[in-house]
Amino acid sequence: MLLWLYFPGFGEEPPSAERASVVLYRRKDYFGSDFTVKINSQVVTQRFSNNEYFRLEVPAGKIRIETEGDFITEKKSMIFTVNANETLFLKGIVDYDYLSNALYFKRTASDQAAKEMTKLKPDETALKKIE
Amino acid sequence: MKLFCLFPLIVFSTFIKSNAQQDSVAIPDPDEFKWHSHIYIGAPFVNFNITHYPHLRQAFKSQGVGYSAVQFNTIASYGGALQGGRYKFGIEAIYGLPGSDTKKQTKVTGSYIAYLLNAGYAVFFERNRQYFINIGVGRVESTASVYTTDASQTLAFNNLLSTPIVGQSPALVHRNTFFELSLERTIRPTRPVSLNSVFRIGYRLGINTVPWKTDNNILLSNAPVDRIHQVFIQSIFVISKSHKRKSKV
Repeated sequence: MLLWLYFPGFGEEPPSAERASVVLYRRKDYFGSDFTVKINSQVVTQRFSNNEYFRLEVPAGKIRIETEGDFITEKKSMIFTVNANETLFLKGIVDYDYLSNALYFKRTASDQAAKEMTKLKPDETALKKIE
Repeated sequence: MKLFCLFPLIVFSTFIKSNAQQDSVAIPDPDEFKWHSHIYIGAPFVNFNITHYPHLRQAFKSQGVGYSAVQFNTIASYGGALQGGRYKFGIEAIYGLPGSDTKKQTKVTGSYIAYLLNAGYAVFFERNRQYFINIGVGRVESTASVYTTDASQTLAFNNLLSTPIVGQSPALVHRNTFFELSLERTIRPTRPVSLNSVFRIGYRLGINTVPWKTDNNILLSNAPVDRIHQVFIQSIFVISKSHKRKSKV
């Protein structure tokens, strides 16, 4: 029991065998630089720019998304929960500052995401699936 | 006994874990801030203006002094403002570094210093960007001097005040109250302290016509009467301190 208290990861559920989908998108924006996006520590795209989206299949459950750019950007990490067979829409939001920009993602309703994604192009370099 | 006390803690931890918020992401929100204090710093050589004094030009031309329609200066500026929502109020000091207008046989040099109060309203107020329309009123003191370039004169330093000088005008001074209108684009602060860029383009117009004078005790007769016309472009930095809204208890 003490082990469980000292090591929060101890006893966590193993990655789910069930699958879900995640759609990440960035609308047209003043800050157009590319970001690298990792999901569960796996690089899924290195050139995620504004005006783009990609869809990939992930294990259901908690997913950790990390973003990092090339120049004067901050690395950010966030966790989302996605249920089995669910499609989770995540909208990219860039936070500007002259010395450090950062890319965040925000859970967005599917109907709103559909409206906002009408003119976006797919990021063809992104992975389609992670284990 | 100790283990017995530990048990409720473990149960509670399990409960917290299973009911944790689904998403763990904290996106900086500009709406959290009630007001901002800004300090603007504009460096020379990346900030410019052009100034037009129509009657001074006419008077120079009538004496054969070449003087372009617009005079170019690079400028340094410092300012401060307080912003609450879409509104802001500020002060600014601007120094127009000396610029010269060299024509055949004559050279005119000019600089200026200005102070102003301004107020702005953000017509576009988005998460990251804000576009202000600013209006302001201020006071400008422009200085110009002209000399001939085709003749040189030797002046004994120990006779500075007693030797008449030919081919060199006294420093001409024009003090004018002006009205300013500008459009400003800047990044909206989302952090407690932030550094961002500001782009501003605007126009200054003297609200009245006043005669050119000298900066010493020489009285000018028939001096031209002018008002300032000035267009400026600024690409400056702003350091912003943002203050949160008081949370309701």
